[in-house]
Parts: sequence; C-alpha cells; structure tokens
Amino acid sequence: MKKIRKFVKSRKSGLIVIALIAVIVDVFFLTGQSDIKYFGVLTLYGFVYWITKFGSITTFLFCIFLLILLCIYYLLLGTVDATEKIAVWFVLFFAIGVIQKWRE
Amino acid sequence: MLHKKLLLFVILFLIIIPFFWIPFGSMDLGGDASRLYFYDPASYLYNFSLFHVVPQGIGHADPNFFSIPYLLLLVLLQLIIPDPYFIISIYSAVKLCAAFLAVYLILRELLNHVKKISETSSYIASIVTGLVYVFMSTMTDNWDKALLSHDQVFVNPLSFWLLLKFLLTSKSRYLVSFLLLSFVVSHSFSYTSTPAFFAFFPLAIIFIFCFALFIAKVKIPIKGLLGGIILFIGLQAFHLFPQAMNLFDSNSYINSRVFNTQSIDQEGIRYYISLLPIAKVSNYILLAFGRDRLIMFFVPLVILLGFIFNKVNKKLLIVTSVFYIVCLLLLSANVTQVWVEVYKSFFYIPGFSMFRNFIGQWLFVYSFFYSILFGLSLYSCLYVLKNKLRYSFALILIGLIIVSGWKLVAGGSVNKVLFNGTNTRVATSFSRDFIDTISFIKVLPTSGKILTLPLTDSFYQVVPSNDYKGVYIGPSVISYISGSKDFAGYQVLGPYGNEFLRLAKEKKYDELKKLLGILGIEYIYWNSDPFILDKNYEPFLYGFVGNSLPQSQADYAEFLGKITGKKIWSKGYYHLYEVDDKYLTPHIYIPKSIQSVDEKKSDTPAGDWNGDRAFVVYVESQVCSELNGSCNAMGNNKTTLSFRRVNPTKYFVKVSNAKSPYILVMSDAYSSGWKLYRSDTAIKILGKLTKYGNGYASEFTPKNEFFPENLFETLFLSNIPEKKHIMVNGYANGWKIESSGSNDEQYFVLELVNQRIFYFSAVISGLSLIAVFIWIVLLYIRRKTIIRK
Repeated sequence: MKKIRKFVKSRKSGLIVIALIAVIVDVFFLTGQSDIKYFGVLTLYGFVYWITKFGSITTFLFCIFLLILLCIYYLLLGTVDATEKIAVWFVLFFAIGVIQKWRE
Repeated sequence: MLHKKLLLFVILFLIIIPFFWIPFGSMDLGGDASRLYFYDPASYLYNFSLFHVVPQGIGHADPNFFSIPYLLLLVLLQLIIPDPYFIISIYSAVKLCAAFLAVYLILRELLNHVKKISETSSYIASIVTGLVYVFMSTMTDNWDKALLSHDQVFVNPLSFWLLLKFLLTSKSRYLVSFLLLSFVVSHSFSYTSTPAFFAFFPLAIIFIFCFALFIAKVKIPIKGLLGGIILFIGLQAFHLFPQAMNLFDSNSYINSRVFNTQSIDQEGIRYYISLLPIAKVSNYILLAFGRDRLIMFFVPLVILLGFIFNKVNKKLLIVTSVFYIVCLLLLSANVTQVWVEVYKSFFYIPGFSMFRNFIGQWLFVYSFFYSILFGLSLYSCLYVLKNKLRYSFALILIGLIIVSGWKLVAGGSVNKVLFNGTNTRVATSFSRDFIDTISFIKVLPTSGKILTLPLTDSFYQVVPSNDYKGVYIGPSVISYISGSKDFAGYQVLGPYGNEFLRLAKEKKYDELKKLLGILGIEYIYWNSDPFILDKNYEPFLYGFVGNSLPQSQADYAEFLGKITGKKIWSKGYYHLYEVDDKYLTPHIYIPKSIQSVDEKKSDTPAGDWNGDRAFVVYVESQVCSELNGSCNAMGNNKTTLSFRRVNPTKYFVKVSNAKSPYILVMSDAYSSGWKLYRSDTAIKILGKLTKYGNGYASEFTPKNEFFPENLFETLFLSNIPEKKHIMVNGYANGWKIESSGSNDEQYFVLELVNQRIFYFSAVISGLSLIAVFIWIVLLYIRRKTIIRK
C-alpha cells in the first residue's frame, strides 16, 4: 500500500492528466455511452485525490473547460450524443469538485 | 443607495410588463385548465368547484374543491375590476413580482449568515438572482395558458422564505403568513398540484432545517411548528379529506394510479421510459432549450467561478450544491445507466408515478435551487471585486438575463400562435353570439347532456374571437360556465368513443341516435363557423376523429340533419338542437327493456345493437346472474318516474305504478359514492315539467342549490343495499329495486355521499381559519403592548 501511495504521490499530475485525457478521448473519439467508462475514470480520479488530497480548484477548472466545450458542441451540433456525454462528465466532475471542497 | 434604486426599478419593470403580453381587452384563456375562472369566476366556482361531480362528459365523481378560496378571491376582485384583461394582467404581475421578491429575500436571508458580509454584494447578488429565477428559460416557457399549478412559480419561493424566517426567528407572524398564503392558494397544496408539492416541499424543508441547524445554528421552535402543522391540515381539510376518501375508493381513478401495480407499470415506468430520449442533461445545465438561446451559460460559469474564488460561504455553497445535484439527477434522469435503473425502481414506491413526467415535475424545484446556488456563487465572485466593478458586472448579467428572457418580457411566451395558417393566437375574447348561446344553455329545462360539434380528439372546445385574431382552445365552456355536462371531444365519450366514431363512419345514424340516448345526450351544440374547421383543420384537434367524422362544416350540416331533432336555438354560427324524440332519454329513468350483454363478445358493453326501443339499458350478463334472476324479466313498461335535480350531487325521485322489480338508472359515471335512499315521506317536487317518451319519465326544472333545504336528510336513512347497486350501460349507475306490489308512489333521494364529506371538512377549515385570525389578533395585541411598554 505504501508503494502505491508513493507511486501515486510521485506521479500525481500525470495520473490526473491521464484521467482528464480519458474524458477528452471519450468525448472526441468514442461513440456510445457506458457506465464502465464513467466509473472507471472517476475511480482513478477519486483514488488519486484520496491519496494526494489535491485541491478542488483543479476539478473546477476542468469543469470550466468542459463547460466551454459543452457550449461549443451545443452551439454547433445541438443536443447530440457527444454533447450529452460532455454534460454527464460535467455533472460527475462537478459532484467530485463539491466533495473535494467539502473535504478541504 | 444605488442597489435600492435598482431594486425598485426591477419591481416596477416586473409589474408593468404583463400588461403588454396580450392586447387590451382580450383574455389569456384555454389549455388543460381552461382558465375560464378569469372570464367568469362565479360560474366556474359554482359549476366546477362546489360539487363532487365533474361537469363534463359522463360526469365522474371527482372532488375539485381545492380552488374555492382562490375563486372566491377572483369573484371579489371581479366586483372591483370587471374586465378579465386587468385581472389576468394583475395576477401575472403578482406572480412575477412575488417570485422575484421571494428569491431576493431568500438570498438576503441566507447571506446574512455567512462569515463576512458585504452589504452591496449581498444586495446585488440577491437582485440578480431574483431576475435569474424569473427569467431563466426553464421558467419562461410555461406561461402560456398556465395551469393553476403554475402558481408554484411564486408559491414555492414565498413559502420557502416564510418558513425559513419562522425557523430562524421563531416569530409567529411568518408562520401565520404562510398559513394564510397556503389557504388562499390551496390549489398549490391539493391533489392537482401533488407532483409540484412533493417535488418542492420535502427538499425545501430538508434544506431549511439543514440551514437552521448546521449553518445558522438556531433552536427549532417545535411548539410553533406543531401548531402550524395542525392548522395547516385544518385549513386544507376542505379539499384534502374528500380527496383522501377518493384515494381509498377502489373504483376511483386516483386509487388505480397510486396503488395498482399494473397501472404503475403501464402509466409510470413506460411513460418515464418514453420521455428519457428528450431529457437532455445539456439543456438543463446550460438552461438553453435551443441553440439560439445559449445566453444563460453564464449561470454555470458563475457557479464554477464562485467555487474557485470562494472565501466566505463555503459550507452554504456546498449544502446548496448537494441539493442542486439531487434536483439535476431527478430532472434529467439520464446521468449514467445506473441512475436510469435506480430511477425506474422508484416508481414502485406508492405514489411516485406522479413523477412519471419527470421533466415537467422537477423543473421548478431545479430552477429554484439552481438560482440559489447561482446567487451564492455570484456573491463569492462579487465579494472579491471592487465596488465599481461589482455594479458593472451586475449590469452586464442583468442585460444578459433580460435578453435571454425577452420572449417572456415581450409576451411571446404567453400569446403564442395556435393556428399557424391564420396567425391566430392565444389572446382571445368571446363574441356576443357565443355569450348569448351560453346564457341560453344555462337555462335549459332539463339536466340532459350536450354533444358539442365539431368533436375534437381530446376534450377541447374551439371558440374563435369575433375578429379571428384569437381562439379559445380548452375544456368545454359549456361545461364550466353553463354547468351542463358536455361531450366536446373523443376522450370524454366514456366507453363509447370508438363506438361513436364507428357508427358515424359507417353512417348508421339510427344506432348513433340510440347511442346518444345511452349517454344521456339530449342536446347537440354546433359551431358552424368554417374558421375552426375548414380554414384551420389542425391535426392536434381533429387528426384522429377526422377519420370518421365530417372534415368540413358543409358535411357537418348534412351529418346533423341525420341525427338531430328540432333546432331550439340559433345565433350567428352557434346552434343548439334537440336529439330525435324517439331516442330522447332522461338523466334518470326506468328502462322498458333490459339487454344482457356479454362484454367479451363486443368492443363495448353496448356493442350488441339489437334493442329497437328507447329507454333500453345494457347490463353485463354476469351482473344479471348475480342479481338472482334474469335481467330481461325486469324490463318495465308501466312504471313511471319523475325527478328533480337539487344539485349535481343530489336528486329527488318519485316512482309510480311499480308492481314488479325494476332497475332505476342514473346516467352519471358509476361511483360507489352514489347512494339511493328510500324516503318514507312524500317529497314535493316542484318546477316546470318536461316529459319524455309519452310520459314514462319526466323531469322538473333542474336546480344547483349548494345549501339545499334538509342538507343532511339522508344521514340517518338506510340506503338500497350496495349489492343492488350495479354498473349499467358500461358506465352509469343502476339500482335493482323490489316493487311495493301496489300502485303506491315510492320516493327516493339519490345522493353522492362524498359531497357530505366536503361539508364536514369545510367546517373544519372554517374553524381553522377562525383560529388563524384569532392568532393574528393576539399577535397584534401583543405587539401593541410591547411597543407601549
């Protein structure tokens, strides 16, 4: 467990970026909605947070990125599947951000 | 001072705009609720709200008492301001202003409990939040033909603020104000608003308690709260108790909706699944509902910035966020497949199927918590800005809000186009000819039902204005204003909708006339205006019935020639006919012939059309055998009957020459609440007499007495046993009555006993109201004493 902690702490930024890239890949390149994707990424993100206790500001900044993306997709394509996917990611990350804020 | 001027300006703005929504002198009527209470509140009150019978179609026993205080208020208002245009505009202004002010006050109150308070930021955030609540797209798209339940737009936040203030200050004046508000807008706390009530109040009350206990850390005034709950139930008793009785009546529609598992599966879960594809999470987050309306995206942006810059109200922001997320999950239902499945299982909780239209039901509570969360976040952002920047930021936001809500500001959300071809809108007025026709129908000599033509798919009647710029499309004006039960659409034809259309399509006019008799239809109203059919053949009105019924007024004229008797009224395009004498059937009668029907063999209980006489009644064969004998033996040719309607829930009946058992039929929808009492004493039945079928039955002038003489005369009488109360004609009430064996006259009182529950409950509500007034007087005296000291 200690090794895992050490590993996560040393590669905190990298792991967060992996989680966020996974979201972007899902939005841009994957079709269809799957709970495994959602909960897989959220578990990784939550785990990194649990170990490293990084600030909620990262999550809220990512939410702003998702919001801008959501607006662009909404404006260009309307309420297509990809737009809905971004919206769901937004809700899930917002919920995580609120939990982080509470724990701070 | 600037923020106070801004507040005043906003209030004035909200008061003025509803006066420009519809043209001067017109009315915003129609929709599922008809809104005819703005046109003629007294008639609406009398025909719809005071009695336990729905004044349309086959006359279901259903309590609609919930709007009595509100309608009484409108009646009083109409005495001062007779023009419905002003009443509608004033009411809209009250709704807008109260909604804005309540949200403004809530935010002010919540912000008073944050650690560091900036008055200017608090004022500005509260004003902007009030405007966001009023003008966010989730709140502006439902103002056209608004239902009574739409009052939640202001009732919800106002109730929230009053309860919050009561819990925080323990001052009784807030609780008393809430009680009075709940009484006046009791429709918002009734069966008709059950989903709206249960969507908002449980969450709101939990929030208020969380805030009071964990953030404001005040002591809860338990005694006052308990007293308030008792008085609240007392004040609402006049509609809650009759509704509760209806809920536990196994024959009632509401009972099957709440407790029947099959109904839950069919009407709850299937409806929920059918709505899932249109529940778009992106719409709710962006508050957009259309690519051209993305302006409100600043709301989630401000919320995120509020979390990032938050320095003063972290706890409050987190608590509100939790409520916001819960509301979003309930509203969108589409956040992950796991949630969809969990949501589905909720429908097995008794009563949860009221949320099957989850989009409509959770929208208001979602908008409310979204606004509050926005307000708190905006405060966090304003707190870190300099004063000048605060005002600039606020003005930009207000500008964006107004642009986003422009459809409501300009009246586009209210005065929508109903007929695209002729650009005919919601705002309408009734022509003199139509008003005179309604007045004529009000004084018809019998309580027979009316068939409205052209028939529509649902239950709507279509009445154009004189200048054809507006049209009324809503529940029958005949029903709600004149009080006569009217069949305006296919949906209200009871079990005979398909049969009616089949006979019309196959041009079997003689059988169609018999069907009118079975439904108790005595009159046919025809609006011959080509504008509502030839010029505007709208699929949403005639798409289904048009396959069987005429599609033009010329064809209707021919159709009417085949099924009507003499014309008794005509003015302009409005005509009233009697049905053919041969098949004219009174509201209460003793059938000359009884047909036993095997329901399995036909689409409807009246599917076997082998009766060739009027006064025929159809009884299911199984019911006949349960009555210990053949139904055919009960056909009665010599017995005569006369009756008088005291009100829609009570009739006096006199039967003569009953030498053999017979069935007494009353053509209102079957309900176990209808009881037939034998009266030992002769009942005087007075009024003008109308005879049917060579004197076999006759009706005396119908009345509508709310407080009839001997109100509770049947209270200690024993009724005809329930096992002899049967359903006849597939919908109506029938009683098998043993003969007296002589020529003696028999007297009966036919009564819907549910109406009694209302009278008793109304007394409880009246006493509770007196108690509230006494409380107000005591509060006033105590306040005066304190000031003097």
